[in-house]
Amino acid sequence: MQRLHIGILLLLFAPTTVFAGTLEDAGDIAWVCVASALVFFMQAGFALLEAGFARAKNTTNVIMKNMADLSFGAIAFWVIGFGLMFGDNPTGWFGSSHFLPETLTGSESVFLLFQAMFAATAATIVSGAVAERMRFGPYVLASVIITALIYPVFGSWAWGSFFEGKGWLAELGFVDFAGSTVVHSVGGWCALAGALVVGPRLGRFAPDGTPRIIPGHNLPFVALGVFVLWLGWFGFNGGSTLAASADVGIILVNTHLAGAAGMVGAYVCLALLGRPVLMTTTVNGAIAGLVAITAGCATMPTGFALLTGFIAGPVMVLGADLLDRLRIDDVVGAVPVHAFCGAWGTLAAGLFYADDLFNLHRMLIQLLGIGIAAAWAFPTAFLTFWILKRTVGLRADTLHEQRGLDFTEHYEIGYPEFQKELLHGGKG
Amino acid sequence: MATPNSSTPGIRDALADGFRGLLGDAETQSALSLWDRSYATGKPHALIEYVNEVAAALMLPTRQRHEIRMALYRALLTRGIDPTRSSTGAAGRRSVTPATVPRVVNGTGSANASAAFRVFRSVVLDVFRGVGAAGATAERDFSQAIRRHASAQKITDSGRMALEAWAAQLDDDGYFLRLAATEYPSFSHLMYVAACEALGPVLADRVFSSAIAQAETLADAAQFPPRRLL
Repeated sequence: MQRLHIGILLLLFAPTTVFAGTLEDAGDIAWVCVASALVFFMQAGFALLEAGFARAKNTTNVIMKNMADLSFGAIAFWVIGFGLMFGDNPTGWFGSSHFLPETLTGSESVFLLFQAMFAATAATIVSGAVAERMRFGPYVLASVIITALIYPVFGSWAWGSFFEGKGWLAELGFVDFAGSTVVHSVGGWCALAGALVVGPRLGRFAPDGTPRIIPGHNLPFVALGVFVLWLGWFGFNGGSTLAASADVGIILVNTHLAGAAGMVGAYVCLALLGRPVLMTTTVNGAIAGLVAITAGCATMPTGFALLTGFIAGPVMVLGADLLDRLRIDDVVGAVPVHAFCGAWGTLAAGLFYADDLFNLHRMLIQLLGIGIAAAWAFPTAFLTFWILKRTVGLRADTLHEQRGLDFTEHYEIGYPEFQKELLHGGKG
Repeated sequence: MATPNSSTPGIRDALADGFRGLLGDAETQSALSLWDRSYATGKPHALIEYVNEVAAALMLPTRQRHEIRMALYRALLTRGIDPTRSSTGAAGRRSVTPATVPRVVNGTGSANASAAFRVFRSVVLDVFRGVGAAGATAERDFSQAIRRHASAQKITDSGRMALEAWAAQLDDDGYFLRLAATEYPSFSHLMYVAACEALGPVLADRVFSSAIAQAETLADAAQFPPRRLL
């Protein structure tokens, strides 16, 4: 009986496109404000994770890129992105109102704040993949295009609108509760495009194609970043209810267990492959599990949430192998974690939909949404990076790569007391 | 067997000269056969690769490999043949007179050289040693990367050849002695890029850090801090 109740509740909250009429209650508003703060804090998690994976000479640059995603991204989303994604959407293809929104109600403002954090998350996924060789200026331009255009347009198809109309994917019944595809896969495909256009770091692959490991400078940062991200995920998924209701409980349980199962899945995968159980890989497994459950955390029984997270671990490990084989340099593993596991999680949301398991029609719609996300985000991001490369230049030159982007891009190094032998001590 | 073209007899004779005194007759013959078979008509810029293959086939120790490479460079230069160019065709020749054939590096550098030169030379030779210690494959990859990236770093052919002469442990300091100190970092950066490709960035950083640390022990480091080369 209790299961039935939960099932009904979950079904009620399944599609995230039912925004209108929510966020009226003070408790709901308070909860979404807290959730926004938690998602904001995820930027700190990304900053720690990505800086830890980078070499010491590039930490300031990595953190600057995260800050840029948050700052430029917030403004770009407010100016254009929010209107494109959540404005009136009569055609189902893009929003056409609420650009530069200045007359929002309190509830709408809270919603805007919450969604601005999501937009920044999608953009910041890119910075980890292209770390240590992409120049700051062009990166900021790409970040603005992602938060103002690439992310909101797909978002309008799957989540639009907050006001009038409905996105065409949402109309078909596409399920992506908190954004495995809308946020993570889209960010992941953009990251793949960026990594391809900018090319690998100097010496990342031997002349015969063998990948070389370039260890991050601070693995405790990596682990701490994952803890922060995990914490933030409670706001990311839990806040997507837009209501301080009892459903939040099961969403958080599903989220937590999927993250845990992702770590276990990565560990088991590494053990079965006879590889060393690297901390960097296993903590990425937790993120993989969290990404994967984001689509179905509100519509999936807990056992299946756990399974979804567990499978995400090997998807991430094998996905990273695939990138290595293709000589694509993704510093933090953003593509396997966000693009591949986001796709897997979105499929799982269809496969394991509560009380409607393995519905072929639903699975096909999920696959359509996954494919459309890739078909939209990857080419547009690729074109963006390619144009930037051809016009303002995307890649730091090899001398800057040698000296580190902290010094060459920002004239400020992350660890001045310990990097004297690497740089000039700030002199010519 | 490949048919040597009109330009190869001179190279072949130079190689035979180079091997003399270092290898026995039978070993020399087998080394020359390898040249005829695989290098005479084909691989451009392949002297280092050739020497590595000879050393592997004859199971020669590293030291002897270096001696042979030095001897071959000297023999080729003596005959006016640029060892760093294609092994075939007239384009492979440059105007090198026997008088310009360099001496073997004795480790001291030119007495009237600037502090910057001596520091630079110390760093470069240490990097070559570091790359050499990583094995023959790394050495070959390093050498190929130097050639591939030289123009991107605005290094002329003469500059690249001067660097390669130092790699072959020849005391050919003339080119670098004429350079201003501000031009040395381009060469050390080219070497860094090549080391990253050949060894990977982690080992490359280690080799460079060690070379810089070594150069900092020189008295000249007070006038020209080795970090200026990074």
